[in-house]
Amino acid sequence: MAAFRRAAAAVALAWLLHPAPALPANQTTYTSVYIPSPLENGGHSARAQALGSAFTAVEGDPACLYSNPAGLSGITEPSLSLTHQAWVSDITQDNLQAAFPLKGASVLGLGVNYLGTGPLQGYDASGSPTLSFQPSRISLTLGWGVRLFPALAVGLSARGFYQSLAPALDGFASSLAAGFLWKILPGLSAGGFYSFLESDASPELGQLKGGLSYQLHLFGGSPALLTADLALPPQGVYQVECGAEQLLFGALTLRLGNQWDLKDNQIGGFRGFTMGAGFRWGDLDLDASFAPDGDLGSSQMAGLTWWFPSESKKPAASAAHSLPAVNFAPPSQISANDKAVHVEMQFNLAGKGTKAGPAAPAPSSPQLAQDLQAQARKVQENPKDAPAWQTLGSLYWRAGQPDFAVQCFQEALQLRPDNGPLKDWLEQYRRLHPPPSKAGE
Amino acid sequence: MGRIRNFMLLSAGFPLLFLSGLPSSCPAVQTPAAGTCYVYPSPATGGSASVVYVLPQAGTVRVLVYNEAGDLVADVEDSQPAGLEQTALDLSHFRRGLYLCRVLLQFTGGGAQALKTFKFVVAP
Repeated sequence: MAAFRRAAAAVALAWLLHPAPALPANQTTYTSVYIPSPLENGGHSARAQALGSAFTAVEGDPACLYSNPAGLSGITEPSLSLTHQAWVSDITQDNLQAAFPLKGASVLGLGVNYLGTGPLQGYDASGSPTLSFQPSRISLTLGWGVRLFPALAVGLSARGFYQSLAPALDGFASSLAAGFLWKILPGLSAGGFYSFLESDASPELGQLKGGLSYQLHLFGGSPALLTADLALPPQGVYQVECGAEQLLFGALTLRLGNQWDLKDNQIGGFRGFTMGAGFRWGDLDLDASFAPDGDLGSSQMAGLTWWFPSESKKPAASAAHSLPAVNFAPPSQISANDKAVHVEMQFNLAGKGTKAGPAAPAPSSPQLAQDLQAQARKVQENPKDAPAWQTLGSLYWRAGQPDFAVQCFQEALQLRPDNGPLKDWLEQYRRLHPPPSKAGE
Repeated sequence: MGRIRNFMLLSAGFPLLFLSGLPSSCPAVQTPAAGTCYVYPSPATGGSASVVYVLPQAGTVRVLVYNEAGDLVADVEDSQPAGLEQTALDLSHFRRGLYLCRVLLQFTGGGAQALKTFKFVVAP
């Protein structure tokens, strides 16, 4: 038997080493196969593109619907987003998506995407021009993200496609995707995402990605967000992606990213680098990104996100990812006259589970006063509701009562110690507004 | 060693595509505008198509085909004389979808030219 194996090995070796017939000079070698709907997997978000598509471990952004539905769990406010992408050769994408926080720390996401290629000239088999046609593809995506444990969230999404390549050449396809998001340490998260496409393509033609995100204090204000992904499209070109974003002046976010192909893709010119910016104007986020793709051309994205006005504002992981709520200034912008008082809860919320104290001064805005009363009732009804405490804190902040706001945030943090952004924010606040005993030293 | 390379490519699941330059003998083929090229038939059905271009001088033609993700899926080199020429593509291993094509001309007498990137649909 051993002799037979040796003989077989010798034959195989001889076959391998035998000079092969010369290949035709015009031989084409496939280096990858077609990956269905790759553009739809790009994130549909100017923020994601500017971060080099390294978005798997990011949470709290509506675009998580496509990059990792587990990240939807970080959204605390309803939102509506519209994104337009211009790609090479007049190919465009338009995407409308919405996110709806549900009870039980879960969030529902919905997205509609339209991809248009622009007109194509038709030619028959003899090369004679025929009628032009316009391929297009539309998809509907439904996703759901839920936080199972304080440090672990999971998500699922389903997508249906309708593609029309040419007259009488159309069809349906569908895909399923699953992802997770794990908060390893405060500020450090890991995410994973896999999508499975059901169509005339093979099942292995899915999309597999893993990534990390980390919040790093580079400057005095908000921490920078650093992200890195490894994209493993089966039989496609593996990529390492990374990105960074920094919030400046409370409203402007700058983003940079890069993508490295782990194989020579025969595309010359400047490519891989991505950049973008975001600007907050009230409840609106305006985002733009630019990604040159060498000799193929470039991709530009512009997006508009509306965060529905409510007592609680934008989630921490959005453009102002370091803040526990929107519409109030970061600690660096707090007036020096603000007092930081570390005392027991002082505001008057008569009822079980709350600590009595002197009532907070009435806010100037009647609407804000109503919101405060309503939110205080929520806290009264469920004192263990951390998001409710955080919302109440946001309202007090907007009312110009930072002491009460900080106390609410502290209460929220006690109930949810894993709330990294809130913890970071409170630490920044304390650094800038030390307690009176320390300040007097 | 060439056989080893082929064996490795095949065992890794990478199909090979063979192509050949074709004379532009078909009278129906249109001369593309300067600096451009096209594929016929369009949509590309039947497992094959031809890329049509004009070479100002004799030289080597390189046809690069990318999928929507920007991944290279076909790389073709062909020596052609000056004039209206075409290169055949074997699309039998292509999946249905949209593709991008770049044509690079390297002239024998020196110099090079990149034709405008264009898109085409494959519907096997």
